[in-house]
Amino acid sequence: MFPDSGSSKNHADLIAAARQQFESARRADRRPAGFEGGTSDRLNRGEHPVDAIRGYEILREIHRGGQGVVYQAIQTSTRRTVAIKVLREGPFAGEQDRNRFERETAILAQLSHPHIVGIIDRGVESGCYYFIMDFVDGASLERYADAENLDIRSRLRLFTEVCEAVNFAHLRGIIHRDLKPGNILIDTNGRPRILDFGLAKSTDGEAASFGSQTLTGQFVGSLPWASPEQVQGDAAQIDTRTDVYSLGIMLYHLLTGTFPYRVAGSMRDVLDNIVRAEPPAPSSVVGRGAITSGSGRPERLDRDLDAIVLKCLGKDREGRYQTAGELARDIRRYLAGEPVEARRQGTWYVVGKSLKRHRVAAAVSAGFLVLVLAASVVSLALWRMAVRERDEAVAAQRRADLEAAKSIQIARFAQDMLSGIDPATAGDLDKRLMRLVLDDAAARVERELAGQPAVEASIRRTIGLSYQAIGEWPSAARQLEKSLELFRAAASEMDPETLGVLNDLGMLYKEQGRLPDAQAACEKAIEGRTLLLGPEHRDTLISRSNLAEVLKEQGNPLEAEALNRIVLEARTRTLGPEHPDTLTSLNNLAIDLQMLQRTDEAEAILRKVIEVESRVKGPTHPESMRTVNNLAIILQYTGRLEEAENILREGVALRERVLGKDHPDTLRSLGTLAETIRRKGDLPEAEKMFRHVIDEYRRVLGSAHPTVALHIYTLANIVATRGDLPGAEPLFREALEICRTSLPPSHLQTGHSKLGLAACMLKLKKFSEAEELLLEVQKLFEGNPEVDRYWHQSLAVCFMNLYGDRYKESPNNADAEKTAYWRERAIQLTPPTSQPASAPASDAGAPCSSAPAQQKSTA
Amino acid sequence: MSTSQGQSDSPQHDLVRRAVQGDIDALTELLATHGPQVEAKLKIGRQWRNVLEPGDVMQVTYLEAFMQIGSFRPDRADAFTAWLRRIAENNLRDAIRGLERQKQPQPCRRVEAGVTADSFVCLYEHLAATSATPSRIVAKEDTKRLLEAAIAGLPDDYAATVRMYDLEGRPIAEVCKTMNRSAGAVHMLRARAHDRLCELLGSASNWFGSRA
Repeated sequence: MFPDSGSSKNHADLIAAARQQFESARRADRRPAGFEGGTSDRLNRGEHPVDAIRGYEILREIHRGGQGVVYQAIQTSTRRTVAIKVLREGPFAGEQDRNRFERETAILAQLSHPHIVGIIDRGVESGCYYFIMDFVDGASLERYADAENLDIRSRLRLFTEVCEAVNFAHLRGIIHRDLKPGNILIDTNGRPRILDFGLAKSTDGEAASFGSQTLTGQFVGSLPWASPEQVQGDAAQIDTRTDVYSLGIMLYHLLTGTFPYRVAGSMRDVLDNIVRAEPPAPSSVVGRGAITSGSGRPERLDRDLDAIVLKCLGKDREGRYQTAGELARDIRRYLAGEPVEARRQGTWYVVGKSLKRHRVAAAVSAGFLVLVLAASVVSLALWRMAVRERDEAVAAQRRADLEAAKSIQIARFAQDMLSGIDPATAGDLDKRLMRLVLDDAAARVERELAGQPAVEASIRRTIGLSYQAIGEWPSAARQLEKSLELFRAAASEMDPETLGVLNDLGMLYKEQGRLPDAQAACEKAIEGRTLLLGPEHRDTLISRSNLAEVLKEQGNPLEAEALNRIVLEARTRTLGPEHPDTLTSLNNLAIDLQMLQRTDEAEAILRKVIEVESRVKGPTHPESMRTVNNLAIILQYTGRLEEAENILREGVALRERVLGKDHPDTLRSLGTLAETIRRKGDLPEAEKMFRHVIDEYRRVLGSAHPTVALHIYTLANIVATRGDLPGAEPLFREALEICRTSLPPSHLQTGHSKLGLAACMLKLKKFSEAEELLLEVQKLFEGNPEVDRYWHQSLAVCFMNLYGDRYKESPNNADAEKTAYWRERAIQLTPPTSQPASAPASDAGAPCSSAPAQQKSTA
Repeated sequence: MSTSQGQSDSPQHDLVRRAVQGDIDALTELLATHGPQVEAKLKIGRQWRNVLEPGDVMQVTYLEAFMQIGSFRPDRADAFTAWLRRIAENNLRDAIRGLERQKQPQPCRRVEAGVTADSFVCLYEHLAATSATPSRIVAKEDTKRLLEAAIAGLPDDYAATVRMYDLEGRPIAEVCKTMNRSAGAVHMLRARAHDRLCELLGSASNWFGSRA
């Protein structure tokens, strides 16, 4: 035993006692066979299940769990700290363990979110499966909140971020099933990161393979945070609301320091509490001083917070927030002082809350309120009179219903007529005529359907989609946005029609390059459709597939691939392998693979899709033509230029006839053809074609679209290659500016544009701007698995030339050393055997970016 | 080439290197040198001083130092002091946290009096809450056996705290009296005991898994 406490003077005694306890514990080998020592013991013995993983330097074991062992390591190429999870049994792992591990990998790959621990790479080393994750250096949620002495509002803000990350997973069909403070670390920047999806359930066909709980006391998840449906063992009942329940328990604990019911004691009692015990309001269990404000004063919880927390903890799933997103939104409302959804039922509550928010305005409005109350009394009298007239009203209602039915019939007829506008069904009709018909229809809707919002919404949606089909995107956006507004007002946010228009808008925004808007619309559509229709309903899968396309467009092909594979699997299983939707998924997956430089796989898939699609959809269907164009891109990418050119010339002619000369799909084909011509070496012809395509794109898409930037960038390269550097510079700058304004900062197209401009600046001897740009590109490329060797080599060559040229102008040791370094680096990166791998986007048409710099002879 | 760090050959650095490699005498010497400085910087609020003294904190801090030294990675000259201070502050924080919560009735955090297999399951679940260890498929008897084994691997004071407070459900005052320790010290010992158990249970799940 230690000596008595109370004396801080005799440190020698304290240290000696500590040493004695330590040695005693170390000597006492009282553990059963197979029970390994603690972390430091193992480390001191230097034992790792896997000795080495190429490219990583293992530092220490962080954690050993049921499924895997997690190490802290350094990625040798970038020197960044990472975490490596290795399948526990190593090469001896059974098939089930490997599958489960792969599933966790696949789930994490879908979840690229700042608050979810991200996956960097995966692989197999000496038979050991592993994946590389972000390393999170931090404390668990509650420990952090306590250590930082966070007040209630700060806790809520932090918790909202957690909810949003959980919602992000839900939108991708992933239910965590083991949410608890220990699985949420707060990093050193105060950002929450959700860990450990080892028990997660994917709603895509993966039945809950592990039961939840058995009579013998077996259980999956963590008991104190488990929901009633989890402990009752009904796997079919586990859905997003299960996670909402766990979030509710966490929130309760975060605010009160206690659980909402007793989770200790006999197993029977604990389970009974989870299923039946009604939790007391958080405000009633918090003792004074539980959480203190910044000024040190104890904070009290109010009824709004009680309502939010208790709504999460409904025993019946229907009574809870339906998604983690709803919960987050309600907490945000609370933080903003607005009425919370959890207490929506009470009109007096809403009025009271509004008055509280707007104290000054409320005082002014007090007189008005009296008038409103007086009016209410009058209304009551009128209502009594109205009751007497009810019978007559019923008859009137019948007449109105008949009129409504008639309107719907008319609307359907009009929709059928308008659907002929879609080139997919209209074949090669004159597109100018279609546009005129649509313009006329839009004007008449405005005039003639103003009093019938539901019908107007429906017709506007059809007109919007028709405009979209002929490439008239601004008009399409106007119609769809108005339709959404009307549906929201006439039906609700959760109405199938409302969700349908949201989904349409998501795709339209994607085409317009409004990527954040597109992502938000797709996510809302998925959220609603998942709840309303189920995760594998055809419409839900369409929205998820659309989200994958948006993610790809934003420069996340890995994430897109993971999501597309899930959708493809579900579609093949539920719709059949030759269903048009399944074929679309295959086409999308092929593009992902092409972007990830897995060209052979992509080509094989596309050839198969073309064969089936021409049979199922017909060769002039826009999607069939799109798949053919994608094959041409792969041929071009792999240097089979003649074959690519033939397919493209045929494709351009077909698209011009079916879609029109200025349809974005036609322009895509033309752009791909121009790039093929460039690669064949006919620069004057390629330049002419690019200028034409850019002009057309500017007209159709607007000048700020990323596709315009990509084509301008390629044109700039052509101009630079023929030696007109002053002519190339403004083009490079314009391309970069569009990227900066229309794409996320980490998008590779931005990096390519910077590299192009840097190479141009270098040749114009503007060294300092060139260096600044190159350093930015270096940062962007660093550790990014999507940047292939070609681009790394181009960067190295640019650096080498920069320092070499600068040295020639003004010899100095620093530039000489840097030149030598980058020359060595450029040599290490074997020259590419093919063109750069910045594969064009879906259907993609857009040209592959050209080489930003030519390698010089050694400086 | 000259080194600019200036610490590589110092006696201090040599002591740290030996300590990290498992030389207990070296660590003892380091603690004797740096412990008083760390203690001097501990700030215990007035309201806690009758139930927690700096010496309480340093007792547990020294024990933790012996247990954690293998994972210490010195990266600068004053790294050892900073490391020791972090351990001490962590202990102090947990002690105060425990004392604060002790002021409120918290039946939910406690297991029932009397040791049963359920007590072990509940303790296991509680520990899982503070680590990233998912509970997975846990059988009661396995849990009990594992926890008993893990507790047996703890330093005596840690083990006694967990047994009396967590498993037997004794009131804090009784635990303090039996162990002849202040309430703050007991909370600190319990927090550290839980940390160690989490580590041990993490590795124990290896053993678990083969039977699940």
